[in-house]
Amino acid sequence: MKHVYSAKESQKEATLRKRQLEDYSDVIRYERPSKNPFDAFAPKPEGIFFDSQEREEQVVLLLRKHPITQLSWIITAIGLILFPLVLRFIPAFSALPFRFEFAAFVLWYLLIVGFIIESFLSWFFNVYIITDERVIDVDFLSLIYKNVSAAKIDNIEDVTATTGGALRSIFNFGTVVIQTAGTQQELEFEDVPHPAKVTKLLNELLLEEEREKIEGRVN
Amino acid sequence: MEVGEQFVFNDVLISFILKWLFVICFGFYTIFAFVLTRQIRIMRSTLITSFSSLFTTLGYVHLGIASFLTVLFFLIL
Repeated sequence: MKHVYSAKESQKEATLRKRQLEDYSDVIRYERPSKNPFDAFAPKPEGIFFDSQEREEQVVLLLRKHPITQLSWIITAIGLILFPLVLRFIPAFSALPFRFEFAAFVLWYLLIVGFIIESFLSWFFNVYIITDERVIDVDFLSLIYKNVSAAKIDNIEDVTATTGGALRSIFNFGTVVIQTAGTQQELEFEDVPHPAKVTKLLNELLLEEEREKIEGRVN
Repeated sequence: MEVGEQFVFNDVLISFILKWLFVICFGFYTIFAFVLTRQIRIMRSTLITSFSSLFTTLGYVHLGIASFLTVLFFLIL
């Protein structure tokens, strides 16, 4: 009798247990866990966490803007690095005493270093996180402004992926717009790699949430 | 006032103005570098990665260099 009871209990526990991501997500099943912290498309990233992460919550996908979108500031930085070389050929700029010329040179390159650090940090930390429970948009708009928007997976009403233009088609990146029923009406994952995969993953997570509700499984 | 004296006076005045202009610019940059270290702290607490400590070190090295250059140009200009 005791055996029958414990078998029933374990069966009940099994049905209530949360399914693994690989069981219901094709996207995750065929993607290798990302070990590179600089990946713009990082499925199941290793060693990456966020501040409001719950103990049971698992980061499914971490997204950043596609690296090609960072080309504008990289080209600007290269141009700024080379600019003093052009100035050397203009006699008016070498009229300054050497110490001032040197100070101007150092200040110029220091400003470029600042610009590069700021641009890189902005790319690295402006992330879009998809967990098995939520979607999170982390924005650092300037040095002092931080905005974190989150929506529960079961609040998602509509997911749209937009890929337009030659560059986006060649490098396969685009914008994923997530309409939610919560107070935050819309989350926008701007210029992320593989927008179709992101959309598919969100649909899979949404379906699983609905299945969990129907089957009465624990979140 | 002689023409030569006028020239020397202007030269000294321009040097003085330029020196303080540069020192102020370096000073502002140091403030920016300081704000950047605070920002890195907020960023790394928001997203925790294996590279977080490296960014903090980078921020402090950057602040150190900016402070050093401010003092250096204050002394040598």
